[in-house]
Amino acid sequence: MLFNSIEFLIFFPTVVFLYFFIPHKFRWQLLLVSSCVFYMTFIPAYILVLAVLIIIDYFAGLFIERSIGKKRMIFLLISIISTCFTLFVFKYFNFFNANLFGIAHFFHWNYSLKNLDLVLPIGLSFHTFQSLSYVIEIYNGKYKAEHNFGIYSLYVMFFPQLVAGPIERPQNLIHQFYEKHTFEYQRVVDGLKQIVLGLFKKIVIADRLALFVNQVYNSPTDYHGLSLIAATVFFAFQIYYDFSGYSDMAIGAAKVMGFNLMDNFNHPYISRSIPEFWQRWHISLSAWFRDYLYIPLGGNRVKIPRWYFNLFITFLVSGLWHGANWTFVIWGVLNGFYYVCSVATADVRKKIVEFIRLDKFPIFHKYVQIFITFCLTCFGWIFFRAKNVGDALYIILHLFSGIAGELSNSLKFLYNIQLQESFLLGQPVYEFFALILSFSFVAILYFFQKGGSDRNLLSGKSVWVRWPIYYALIFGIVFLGVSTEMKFIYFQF
Amino acid sequence: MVKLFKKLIILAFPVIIIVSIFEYNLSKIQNSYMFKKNFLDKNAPTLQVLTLGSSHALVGINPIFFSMNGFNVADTSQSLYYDYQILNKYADSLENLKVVIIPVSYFSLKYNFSSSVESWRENFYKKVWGLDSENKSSINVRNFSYMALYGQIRSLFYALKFFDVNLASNISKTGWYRLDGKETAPDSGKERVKYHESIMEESSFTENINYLKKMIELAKSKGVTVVLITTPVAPDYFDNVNSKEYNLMQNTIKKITEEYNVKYFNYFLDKNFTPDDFFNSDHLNVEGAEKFSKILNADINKEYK
Repeated sequence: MLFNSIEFLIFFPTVVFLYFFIPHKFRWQLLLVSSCVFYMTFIPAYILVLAVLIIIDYFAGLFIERSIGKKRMIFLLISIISTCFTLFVFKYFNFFNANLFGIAHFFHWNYSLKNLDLVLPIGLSFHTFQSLSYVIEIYNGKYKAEHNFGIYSLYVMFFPQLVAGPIERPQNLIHQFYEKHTFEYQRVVDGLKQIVLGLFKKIVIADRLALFVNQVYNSPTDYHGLSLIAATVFFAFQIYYDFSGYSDMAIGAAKVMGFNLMDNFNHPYISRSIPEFWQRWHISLSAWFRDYLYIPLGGNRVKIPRWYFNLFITFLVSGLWHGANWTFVIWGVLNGFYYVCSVATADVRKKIVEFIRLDKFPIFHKYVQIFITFCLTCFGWIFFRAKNVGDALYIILHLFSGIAGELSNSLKFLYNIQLQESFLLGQPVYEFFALILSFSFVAILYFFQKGGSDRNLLSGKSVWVRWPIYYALIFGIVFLGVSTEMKFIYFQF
Repeated sequence: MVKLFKKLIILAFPVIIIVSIFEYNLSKIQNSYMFKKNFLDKNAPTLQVLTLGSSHALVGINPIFFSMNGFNVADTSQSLYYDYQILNKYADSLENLKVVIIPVSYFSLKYNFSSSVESWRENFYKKVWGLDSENKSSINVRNFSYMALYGQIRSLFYALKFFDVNLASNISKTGWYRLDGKETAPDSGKERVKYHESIMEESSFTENINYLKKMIELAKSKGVTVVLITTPVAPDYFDNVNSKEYNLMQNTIKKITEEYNVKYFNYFLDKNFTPDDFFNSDHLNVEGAEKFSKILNADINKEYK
């Protein structure tokens, strides 16, 4: 069940209505059943996979808490290995098998292990990470094991964040299932506003951008130059509006019922450096990797080469987490390289800025930094979006081919067919204008928000500002939304 | 909670009114599906020849040139599944039907409408014809809303014309769709073949053969002559087809025609057609359609006698 589906439009109000009308003691059961129903609308049998993971980590949590010394570590390792093994079987086995087959073929070895015919359970990477954070927190003594099996199951399965996060920590979420949430008008309205904003981002902006991006990335060899650049920049915004739209809907849905989920995005494309970008992009995942991989590896409290190595490993694993494909591995390594270069060259860059006196123009300097960071990020997205490494390399090698001619023709802009070929990417011109219109609307919205969080959209504004914007959002969804139910990009992970 | 409901109602009221106005007016817009269904509802008992099929038949067969009273019920991207469903739905009311023409294009035997890029058109079969989709899918907003079905932006354009739009204006009273001259910037034959091969799925092969057999059995049970055909294509289309796929298609049709003793006319690379007869590499234009319809009529008459 997608958040942007009719099923969810029926499912969610029903759950909310029941949630506030039944006694508090039955609410977690309602949420658990609802979450099971929500999950089973994808592939029903896969709830068994989730059940196995929940059982393993629930008991692992209890045993870790009760044990002392090496036994704690053994139970933690059992939990981590079994959880990661499940993830490996469903997500990575075929990838590694195909690569082993390729190596064996190269050396003329006899290798005949067949691929598994399995569909990746939706959101598996998200809920395995959420489960792992639970057992690790218990092992670290930062959280006590949850004894109520139902509540623990709900922690893993809570439907607003089940399939694509935000990846929550037990400290933030589990206690909320015990708290009594009354119906608070302002909170519910804030939650609904965030859902509507998320839906707008998804079906008006991200899904429309997808029309342009898919046209090029599904068949990149048909394009070159400006078209490839335009599609890549469009993808940068598509993935942001898609995932932040999903996150808004998840956070808003939880908020309506009184739950507080962590923010996942903080205007990442205004970042002035790669490290800043990773503090603003998919915050819950970045924090997970920081706390459970980067810091245990030693973080930055080690010698410099080791520090860089830790950064590289963290980004490599992050890339692999996103998908079992060399494109994601390269994307991770590339971002690791960016990050290391960013910290390693900080002093040199500062001196260069002083030398060319860019620091005398702080606003201009800021926008240069934002532009460079955005370009580097877009370059990385090429690997993220391309179907395979070959496509990605083709795109990179042809990003600027024929661009001089295209740019000179573009001077005639509105009257020139080049505009249509380079920017419209095979889409009707009205789709392009709808895109411009929706981007402009979001810009106006953020102007009123003054760059604030989506969490308290338009709070404190007068009714003359709020209601026209509400109507603009709703009519935008109704009249400019792409009516094909497109999956959220991060659902595949 | 009452306060919230009140505000939601106030907020939703204008939206509901405007959307209702759109939905009502869009539902009245004439389109090819509506036109063909209404025609069959009224005239099925008088028809003698019925043409099924996809856009190749839609633009290529003009029953006005038939010596018997004919109607073309083909539509863009229509699959063998919907051919069967339409024939099955009207089998009893087609009291005077003598011949049913079942076109089989290069892609037809492996075509799955539901997973193709044209799958949105399926909702017209649900909404207009009342036919269920081949692949049961989740609830789709297009099954409930014309605005979603036509596309919201296009709906806005229709509203600017006060919904005075006829989407079936290019369709003749015999159900044939008129394509004049040449397409301005056509895809090459290679690109068209590539597209058609992209909508072919191995898993649909058996099911499509079943639908074809069911149609033949149904027609035969009513004493109707069945004619299988493949419409003409331009050489640059033919030259790019995968010979293995083409041979599989031909061998499969041969087996079926032998099994059921029905006739198959293959005009795929008929030398009677010149480049001037084609709108693009796989669709006939007005002149081509006239030429083809006359040839087909002559061949059918030979068979029917």
